[in-house]
Amino acid sequence: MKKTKRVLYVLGAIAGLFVFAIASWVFIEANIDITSRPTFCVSCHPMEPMVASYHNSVHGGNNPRGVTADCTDCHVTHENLPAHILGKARSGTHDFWIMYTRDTSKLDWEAKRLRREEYVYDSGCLTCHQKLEKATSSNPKAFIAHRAYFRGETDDHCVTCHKHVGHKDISDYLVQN
Amino acid sequence: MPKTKFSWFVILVLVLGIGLVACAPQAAPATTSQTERTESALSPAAAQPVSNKIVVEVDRNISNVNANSSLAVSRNLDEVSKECISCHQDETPGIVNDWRESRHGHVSVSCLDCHGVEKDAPNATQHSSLVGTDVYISVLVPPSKCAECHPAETEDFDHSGHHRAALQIEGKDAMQTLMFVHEGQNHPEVSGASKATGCNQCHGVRIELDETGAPTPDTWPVAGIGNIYPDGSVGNCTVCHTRHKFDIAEARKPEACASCHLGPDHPDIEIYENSKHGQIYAAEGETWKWDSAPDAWEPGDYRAPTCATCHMSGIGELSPTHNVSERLYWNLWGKRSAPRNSEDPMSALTGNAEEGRAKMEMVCESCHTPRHTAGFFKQGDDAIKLYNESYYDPAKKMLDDLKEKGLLKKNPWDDEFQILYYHLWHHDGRRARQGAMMGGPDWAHWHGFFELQQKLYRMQSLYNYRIENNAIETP
Repeated sequence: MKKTKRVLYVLGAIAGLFVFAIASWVFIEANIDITSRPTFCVSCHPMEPMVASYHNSVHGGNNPRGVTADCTDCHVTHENLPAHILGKARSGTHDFWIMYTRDTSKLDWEAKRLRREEYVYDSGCLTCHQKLEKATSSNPKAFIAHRAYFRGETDDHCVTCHKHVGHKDISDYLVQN
Repeated sequence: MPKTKFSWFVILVLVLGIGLVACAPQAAPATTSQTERTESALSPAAAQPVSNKIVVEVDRNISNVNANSSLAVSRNLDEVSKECISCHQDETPGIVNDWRESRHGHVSVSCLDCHGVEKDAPNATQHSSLVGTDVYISVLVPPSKCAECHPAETEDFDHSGHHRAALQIEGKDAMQTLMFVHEGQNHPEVSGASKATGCNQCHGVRIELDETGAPTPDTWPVAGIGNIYPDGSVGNCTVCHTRHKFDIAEARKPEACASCHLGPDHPDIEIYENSKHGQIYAAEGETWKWDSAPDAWEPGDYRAPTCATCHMSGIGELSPTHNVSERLYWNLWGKRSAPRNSEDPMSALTGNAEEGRAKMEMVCESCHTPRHTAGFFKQGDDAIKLYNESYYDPAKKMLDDLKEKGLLKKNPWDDEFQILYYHLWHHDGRRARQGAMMGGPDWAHWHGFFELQQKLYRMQSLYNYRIENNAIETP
């Protein structure tokens, strides 16, 4: 009798742990997802022009199928999972800290755009645009314009040339702001 | 029988007659409509006896794309560029025809790929047909745009002396004074005219924009190699690869360099023409192969090198470079020649002397023996040493002495000693040095050292007079 009870407790504990693991997995995954989206990022006022210009762009849904990329798809590294989680935590904490310790109206966003290579990650671009490397001369612009990049003959990043990607006419929105 | 004879006679006459008629057009080709038009234009009296007006029809572009039919291109082009082409083949047929014959045309790089800009760019403009669309364009295509597909070439360029061409003028007070005060005579409106039509067209300029985003007429059009564009990028690829054909064969010919590297102060094209290399090019260059792939253009395609062969091409083991300073040992344009030893493109000594010489020797030895190459550089280096030590150093010593004693005029361009000093290094001295290092004997000697010795003697006379009399001579 006693023995059966103990077995039941152990089984119950295993089942409980399993449910807890699933629940926390769902909770973490959902939170990572929620905090990756523009709806979350725009909850800080200074991000408004970035999100408005994002919605105007191909990456923000202004395309025939309405497909969107999330903020962290581009603005956090995708080299590997730990680096991604760490990078997300780091930049989230940084933005939160700046938001409450600095006068954000004095930030020079145009100057920050000039060093865009530092906060837009090629590993993010290539997660979706992985077929670009396989482009052939039948699509000459995709082939020729990216050949030097994939052959490692240039230090340029994706956003060196694609200056406005993800945020169409962003200067207009920054001025309006 | 006589009847038969008569028939034969008739047939013979007919055959001869037909033969004559058939040959007639060849003897007098004036029957084709094309020539008729030309003839009538040339001799108006005959064609139009009533009017004396001469009417000559001229095609604006000989291989005009719309001469016979209109060009409709649909292969791999975006919709906007198709529209550009449909109008511009009438508006600017030369541009569309160049593009049609270009590599860009072959790989579907078209109007908007280079001229399209984002709405928020400072130089964003729209002409009437684009108003209401979100397409913005600019007449300015900076090297940063070319770099999108040609990053290695623009990076090479950014490390070369060419990068400095406009920036160095901006930074020099004496140069600004020469351009606006002396050449521009402080004119209240047009003191910049000499700079705009002269200096800028080789050196380049900082391109300014008006309130519409279009370049100002004072700073554009400009064919200078060191242009500074509104986005901050520096250079001008179309100087050597002229628009809109952007031809590798064109840039390999010495004429590509000749619109700037000429004249009294750096007669490089004249030196080349004077050299044995130039002689061979002039004699048979038109039969050579000019369009081999980059890094695959080798001796055999040509029998003598051009400027591009030695200074840029991937000849033998060498890689092609757009850094024209990379294969140089000396600075041959400064007041006194020194070996190159700087990584800063803004430095007059940009480059690496030892590496540069080693690379140039590899170029020479693609055709010549090591003994030939070594002897050539020995002769050239000796000429540089002679200029430095026997001409520039004594001239500079006299100049410094006169300056210290207050025996120089304030306006250097009204002072014979200072004008001679300027010519000694900037004109004759460069001709001697560059002629010597590039195999142009007439320039090394008659336009170089022969002139130098007379300039130096005259400077010494003026110097002695001023020291003895403690006064500047009066004209």
